[in-house]
Amino acid sequence: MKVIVFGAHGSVGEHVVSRLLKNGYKSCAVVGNENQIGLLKKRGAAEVVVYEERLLPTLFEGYEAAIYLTGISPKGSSGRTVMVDHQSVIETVKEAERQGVKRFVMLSAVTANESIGDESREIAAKEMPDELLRQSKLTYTVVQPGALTDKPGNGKVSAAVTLESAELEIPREDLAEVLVQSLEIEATFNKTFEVADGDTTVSKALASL
Amino acid sequence: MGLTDYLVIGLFIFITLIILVPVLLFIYLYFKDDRQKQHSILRNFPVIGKVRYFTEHIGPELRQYLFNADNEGKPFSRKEYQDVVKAGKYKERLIGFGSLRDFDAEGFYIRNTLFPKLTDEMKVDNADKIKTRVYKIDGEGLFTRKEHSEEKLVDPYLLQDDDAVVLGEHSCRYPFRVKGQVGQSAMSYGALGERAIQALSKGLGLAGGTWMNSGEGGLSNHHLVGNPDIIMQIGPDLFGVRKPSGEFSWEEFKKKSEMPQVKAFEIKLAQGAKTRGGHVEGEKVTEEIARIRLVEVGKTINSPNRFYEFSDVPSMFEWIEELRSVGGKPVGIKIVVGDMDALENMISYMKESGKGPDFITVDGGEGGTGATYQELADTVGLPIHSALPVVDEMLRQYGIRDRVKLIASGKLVTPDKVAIALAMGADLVNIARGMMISVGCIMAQVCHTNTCPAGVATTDKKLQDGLVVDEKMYRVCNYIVSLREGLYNLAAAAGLDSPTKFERKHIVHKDELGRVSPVENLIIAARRTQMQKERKID
Repeated sequence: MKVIVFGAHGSVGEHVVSRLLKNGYKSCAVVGNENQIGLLKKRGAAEVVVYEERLLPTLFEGYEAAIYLTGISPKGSSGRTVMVDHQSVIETVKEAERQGVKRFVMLSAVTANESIGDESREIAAKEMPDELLRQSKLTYTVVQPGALTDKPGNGKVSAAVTLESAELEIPREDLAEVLVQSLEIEATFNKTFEVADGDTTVSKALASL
Repeated sequence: MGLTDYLVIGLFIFITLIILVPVLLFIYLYFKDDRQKQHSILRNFPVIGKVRYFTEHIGPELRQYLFNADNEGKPFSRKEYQDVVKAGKYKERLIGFGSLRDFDAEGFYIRNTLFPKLTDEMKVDNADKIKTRVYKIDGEGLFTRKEHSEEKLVDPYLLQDDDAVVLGEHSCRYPFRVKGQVGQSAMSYGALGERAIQALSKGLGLAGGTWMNSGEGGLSNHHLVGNPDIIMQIGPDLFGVRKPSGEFSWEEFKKKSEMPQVKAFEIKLAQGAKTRGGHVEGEKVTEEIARIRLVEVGKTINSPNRFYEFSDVPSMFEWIEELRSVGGKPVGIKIVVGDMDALENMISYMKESGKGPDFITVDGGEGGTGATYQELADTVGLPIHSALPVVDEMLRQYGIRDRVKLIASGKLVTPDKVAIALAMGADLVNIARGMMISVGCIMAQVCHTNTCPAGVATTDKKLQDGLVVDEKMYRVCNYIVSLREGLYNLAAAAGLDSPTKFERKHIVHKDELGRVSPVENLIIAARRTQMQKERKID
């Protein structure tokens, strides 16, 4: 399967690209500017594209799946606000639908546990991209992670629709593994779930969702 | 007599003893002090005069811990020391409430631009993360600090491939490409103990994109344990590359140059703190050290001031040519700048002959050492800020700047200091004492005695027991990575996408009156001084 990664230059994206290579996928990394091409090539991307709005209609050509890392908008480097971010999610999702992309995995801007008992508009706005994706015709997966850490990943996580713990953390490496494995594990199809570090291997944790 | 009487007598004797013993001791000391002939203060003020000697003895510790302000203290202030320690231990360099620098004093400043570079515009190679360990503070009380160390994946902040600094690019069979601009300055095994060397080796190897200068004390297995890139230094005593009789051994040299870890050689003409040969106290010369250096066990080593192999520039260049053709690896020289004429002589001969070193290490007069004489350490040789721009300018004038790389050193222990040296013309920067601090040095200033309390500058097994290699190695790695990260921060602020692009125009000197002047003023002043000197001599 060929996978396109939006926001690949971010702290999670780098790991996603190298995990894709490791798991036998061919990937295209979409980045914010030219400077990041070298980095992503080194991390194992078969192709690296610098995002431009006019490129969007052609981007999905030949790709069956997409991993979208929000919070890191493809337009990030043009310095626009969160509403524009939403706009780019809408555009990307619509384009993916049009091009018949089979899988769309999104890293949510909402962290695990964040929305519980908090009705503030801030989180509502952060949740909007997730909602947009859920309303699309795509086979989606939305991953809401615990707080991201720089610890080396150990391949063990816990995943559930709602995780019950006050303090949830997940190493970026493990989160990348979750995103990549979600592509093909059917239990994650059309689901929104939370992940954090745990004691089950990624494939088992995802299969039991 | 009843029990009460015994108790009374007992108490009486007890009290008498309490009073009598100190009184007798006082009288004994009084007469001892009064009659001795060494100290005049004690003769005039017996016993009480001892207060002077006692407080003088513990003064350095009191000053360092209690009385010196954060910005005081030499060679390094408390603040400079802590900057290094925190970078290594927590990989954290954030401060609160503003700088402690004295902005009224003179000093160099980096010129920032109105529109700095964004993080994602920087030309940095962060592809291969480093798995290191950092400390996290859990809680801090008046007498306790609870902290734990945890694994962390960190960005290495390496230069991109096309920005890499290459030593001997066009002259050697095996040029040395280095993707970071900071490395470890020359520190010999013997001056430092094996544990310190091992921790440095492992930390530098983990960080990558850096180098370890072996120091003139030969190449030991301790240097190789972490597999870092090594610049092997050759001093006048030729340790590690000599025959038992003391002459240079081409066979040994060839053996060293064939080692994959050895990337370059550095001929040590001089060192900042000692424009003389090295000195190692006999107590430090263990059997192992003697074997590595090919010298006698337990005998104090005083290296000669100069090489026997050459006596002037042409003969030195011939030797360099031969070393390069036999070893195939870059050969550099380490110098201290004093006389501009001598320097100009060499550089003009470099131009004329097309020969010469692949790199020049310019050590500032403020450079450190394990052991030297006060008069040499304090006054001989120019400090790095005066020396470096002059060397850089002279190489440019003769049109050979592209043939030779400059490595600078002299108390450049924080990113801002490194950046200023880079702007003054350095391509790379050497750090020794910053590295020592990251493996536990507490600046006790006893490197020459083999009694280093931190187990760093000592070969004493018991003292070295305090230094845990597998803990300190991460601090070395974190320190190097922090320096590189800091350089990128500064480059971004100056509007540059890589710290390799620092130039003279990016820094400025401010004097006590707030007047700013460019680096060029230093060069003009140096030239004028030299002209005046010539006129007087003529």
